[in-house]
Amino acid sequence: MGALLEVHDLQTQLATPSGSVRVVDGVSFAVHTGEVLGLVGESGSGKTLTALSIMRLVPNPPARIVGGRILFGDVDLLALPEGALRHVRGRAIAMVFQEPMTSLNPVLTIGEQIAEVVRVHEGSGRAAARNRAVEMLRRVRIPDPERRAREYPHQLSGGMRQRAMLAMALAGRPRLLIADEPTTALDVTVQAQIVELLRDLQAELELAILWITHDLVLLSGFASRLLVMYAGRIVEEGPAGEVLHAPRHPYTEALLRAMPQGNGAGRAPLETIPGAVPEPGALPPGCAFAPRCSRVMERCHAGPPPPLPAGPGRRSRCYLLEAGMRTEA
Amino acid sequence: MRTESAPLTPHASRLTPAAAGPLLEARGVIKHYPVRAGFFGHAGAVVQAVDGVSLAVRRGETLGLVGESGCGKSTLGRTLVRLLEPTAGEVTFDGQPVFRLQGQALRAMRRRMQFIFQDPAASLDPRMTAEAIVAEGLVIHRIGTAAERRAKVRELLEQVGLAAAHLGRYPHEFSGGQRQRLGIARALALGPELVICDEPVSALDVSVQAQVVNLLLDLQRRYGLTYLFIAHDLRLVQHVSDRVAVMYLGRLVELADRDALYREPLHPYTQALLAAVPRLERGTTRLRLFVEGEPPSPIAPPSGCRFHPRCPKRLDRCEREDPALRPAPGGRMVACHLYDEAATSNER
Repeated sequence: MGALLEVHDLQTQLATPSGSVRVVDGVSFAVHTGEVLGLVGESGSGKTLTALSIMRLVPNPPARIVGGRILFGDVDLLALPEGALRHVRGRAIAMVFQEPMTSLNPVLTIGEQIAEVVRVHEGSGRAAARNRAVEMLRRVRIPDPERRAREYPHQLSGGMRQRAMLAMALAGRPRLLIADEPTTALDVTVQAQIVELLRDLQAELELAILWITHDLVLLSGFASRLLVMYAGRIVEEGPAGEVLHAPRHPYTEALLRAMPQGNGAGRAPLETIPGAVPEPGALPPGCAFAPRCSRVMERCHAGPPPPLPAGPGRRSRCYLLEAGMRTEA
Repeated sequence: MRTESAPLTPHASRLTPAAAGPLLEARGVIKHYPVRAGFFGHAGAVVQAVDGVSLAVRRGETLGLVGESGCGKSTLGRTLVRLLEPTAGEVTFDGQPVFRLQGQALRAMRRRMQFIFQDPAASLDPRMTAEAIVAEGLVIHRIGTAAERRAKVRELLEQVGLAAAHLGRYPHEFSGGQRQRLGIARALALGPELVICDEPVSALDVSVQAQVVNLLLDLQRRYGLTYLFIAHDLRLVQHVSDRVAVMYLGRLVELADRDALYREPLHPYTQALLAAVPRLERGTTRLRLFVEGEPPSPIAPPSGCRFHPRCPKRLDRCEREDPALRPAPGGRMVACHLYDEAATSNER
């Protein structure tokens, strides 16, 4: 599988009252054709700004992309004039968000909105676009799609709205779907339905998905690879199963241990990570996780570790790997 | 033995033997909200947020209360301690009728049951310092002198992992985890016996959640607190609870010991809920069983069993007959016609 999208050394800044801070700091990764790549991080890790940077949708001001290259095929998206981006957004790369109402227009019916996407991207006539809108609603398993197409967003439940937004995102036949916490606002049974739906659509449409989430285990059994972000940097990357079962960065490991796993340990204290995620702009000079790391070494405070090889297809920004030490406690 | 007068020291009821019955008992609690006329075109309609819930919270236990948004779990928690006025039903707290208490008796009881809210930012007055927030209950209940209260607040802050240096700070100067610690200190100030924790860590990042969960567990051990732990995160509820109650559209559908419920859920809704929880999987696996659709509106709940339109195991009678929460084998309670036979033979 070739790389569909390559992100090289992406740098995105945020203007704050106390000056500019780097919220995405040297992020590099590739999304391969037809793969599901999970981008996992806590709030403030920079995961959403990374996604918005790819779409060139960072709200400017206060945010600004200040460096890096984002290659889609052989086109650098960061070098494209704004006008040319219309051919990329929605058509090559589409994005869905946590809150569907941010993408849906409240005064147009669901059908009209999807048909609009079809007309813009495929130049279809009105009737053909309308039929395709209904077809897309059927594809995302909305019952009675003809009727739903005539309804307005507020008439749909949360789960239905999320499906409608997916239908709209997929109407332009994108090759990459960026999904930013698409199930976080949903209840667990509805979340499971959406994950299963995307699993099926991904296979049917040979779609690549970059799925952004704060829940490390949500994509377990679904994503092929995981990227773990902390304080603006990717700290660990590798095949999903290996990252989850044998993490190579102390942050990933600590995060997994801090989650109640429902193993019946009942009332035993959870393992904790001391302190809190650092504020952007107040990052420590070395590894950003060093102040909270149980296995911190002297050199961790000196400078941020580079991505180090951590096995086939795996990288981790941790000096323990260079020292040849096991990263698992 | 404790006398009938109000406790002189906080936590006094802890001396009562467990045999004295549950700390809190609810029977047929109903909370309906009127819907404004014209809204959704249902003039005079009501939201049946909580519709006939009976349960008991045992002394010193953690009873987990789970369900999806809109199931009424948060409304139930607030109604039980009369943060909301009930529509009907009865609740006793340590034998006293919560819904009928007035004036001084009600205030005295309120000392003994406290509430921890999901969003500490929204539940803490932004214009009050940490000290004033934690001391507020002591002031309202006229407990101690100013100096004693000051000392008590310092002690409370220390117990929740905050420092005396935090006394003069305002809520916005704290991180999310620290704000929740402040909310916990406030809840503990009056020495409660029952604490209703309503999604106490769901607004926090995973790396901070564990710290607050551990604090709650530690305080429970130290003071013998009883928790009603309301949350949508089933992994978390499994971790902290002794028993778990499952709610769907205003009703309890199942109540059982934690391990029994997670090992072998009886109600099809509980089964669907547990199947949908993301877990660490090896390899690529598909979810086993899950339900289609979403919960219907609590304004017009389905006839019969409220889960029947989504239930993969429904019987003909489920559409017509409303199943009661009844004992099932293994000392559990379930509201489902699939277990009618077992329940009937149990009663015989």
